[in-house]
Amino acid sequence: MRNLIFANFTRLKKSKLFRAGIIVSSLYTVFLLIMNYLEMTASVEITTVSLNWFFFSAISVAAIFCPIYSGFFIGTEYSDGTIRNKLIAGHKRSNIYFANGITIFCAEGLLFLVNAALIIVLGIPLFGLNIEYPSYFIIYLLAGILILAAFASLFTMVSTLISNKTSSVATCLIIYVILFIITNYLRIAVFSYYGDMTLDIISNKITRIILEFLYDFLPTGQSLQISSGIILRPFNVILYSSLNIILTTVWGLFVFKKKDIK
Amino acid sequence: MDYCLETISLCKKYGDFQALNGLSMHIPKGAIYGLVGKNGAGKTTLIRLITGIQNPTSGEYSLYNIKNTDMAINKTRRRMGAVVETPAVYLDMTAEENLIMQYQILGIPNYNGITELLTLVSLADCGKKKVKDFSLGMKQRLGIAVALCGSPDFLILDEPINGLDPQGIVEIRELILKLNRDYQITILISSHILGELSKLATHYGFVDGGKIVKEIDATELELNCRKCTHLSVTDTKALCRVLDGLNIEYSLTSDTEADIFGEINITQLTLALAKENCEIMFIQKRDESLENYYMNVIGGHTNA
Repeated sequence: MRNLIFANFTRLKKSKLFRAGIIVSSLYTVFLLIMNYLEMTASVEITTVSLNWFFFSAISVAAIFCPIYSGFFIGTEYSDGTIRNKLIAGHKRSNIYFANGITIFCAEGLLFLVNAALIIVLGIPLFGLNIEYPSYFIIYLLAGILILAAFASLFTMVSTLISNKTSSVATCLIIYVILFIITNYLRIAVFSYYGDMTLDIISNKITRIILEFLYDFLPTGQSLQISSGIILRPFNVILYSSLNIILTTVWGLFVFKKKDIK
Repeated sequence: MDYCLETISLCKKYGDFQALNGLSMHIPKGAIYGLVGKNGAGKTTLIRLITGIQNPTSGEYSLYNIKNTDMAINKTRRRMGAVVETPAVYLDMTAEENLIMQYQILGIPNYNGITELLTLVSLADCGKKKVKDFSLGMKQRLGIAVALCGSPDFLILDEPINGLDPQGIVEIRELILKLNRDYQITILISSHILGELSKLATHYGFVDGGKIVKEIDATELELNCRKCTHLSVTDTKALCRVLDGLNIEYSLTSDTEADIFGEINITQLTLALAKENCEIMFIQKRDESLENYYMNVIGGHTNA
């Protein structure tokens, strides 16, 4: 598997899409830093800005990148037929699957690290070393890493099971968009309980529990929570991310081992 | 005899369709084995199974005496290289980058052999050209180069000359012969183009309906293909009278031409025909072609 990961990293290094992802996300991070700095300097009410939110936004951006990149990266293996080379060379299907999943996770991780480095290099001079609630910050970062792993696991499963690059990319994006829309609805439903707006369905206690569970369980829900800087139940998110990773990996591997590759 | 590959009653079913139906074959070490069959006979399906791309529904195969169910089969596959259907190469990379990728997949730390491989397949001058800009022949040759990474002992080529121009066909043929002769690589080629196979193969396996209907080596094939003398005359009736008189087997192929089987004395025949006022326009020695042999084997199998 080490050989497969090494070969995948060589591809990652040469990937124009990956480089574009780094550039676009970096520009977005710089944009956020500058806009917040300008807002801070223009406002009399805002005197400090914590760096927490910038780091958590970077996690969300890396998560958005995941469906696009996994569809292209793994889809290319099918469209160019190069997955056959790995099988003919004697690599086990499980090793191929794990190597792809690890590569996608590392791609997201590298994206986050580049943005984190930018936040440190630009954010500290602009806002100072201002980290609110450091212990929660560490826990949220850990949750963030697991959220990225959950995304990587989910979209590795989807991309591996679809033998066509175009279909793979499209399906990954559609799944992400649907989950994102569902998550936004869940967010309104969950927070309406605590705010002025109420929804009829939320009056039922069991329904509220189910909706809160889904909001914490779905990777897009977790990503939305972390990007807003409010994770209602961080340890639940860590647990559910781990569960997501296990379930999607087990299922993906099970189906991939039986798949007839052409 | 030492076999590189043996299959025993291999079966493969896709839904309700039986692609392989108890296929048993034997590929001797050092051979160029021609897998002959029409479209849909099961050639590519067989290759997919033995390369590990797909799993058989039932039956087994052995690669260098290691069964496919054995844990050691994955390690044994390192001795094999294959081009299955289309060349498996990254279109957005150069030829050299593709070979580097394959070296990394195989875990070969030293990239020294790449230049020689590119020279062997006549792609040394490609430079920074991406594979997506290659011709089909160049892609085929690169696919073979990728399959040769790791110095395999057994090379599988699935219809390697499909879509190639005449020059491309000659280049691939010469490469295959060189690999077998100079590097002692056992080669399995599947094709439905019999003319090309007859210039290459030392052994043949005829596939029909998902099973091998006949396995034969080139020497035995040559013996089995009947030799004949083909001639064109001015009077076929006179020819028939003479040949009947000499008790020689023959077959009329047209109003003016005939095939005579067995050994004949040309001088005796010419003099006999001259007495009948029959002239010989041309005379030619012929072997029964692989095509005719194949049609007889498959036709016989279908009618069995």
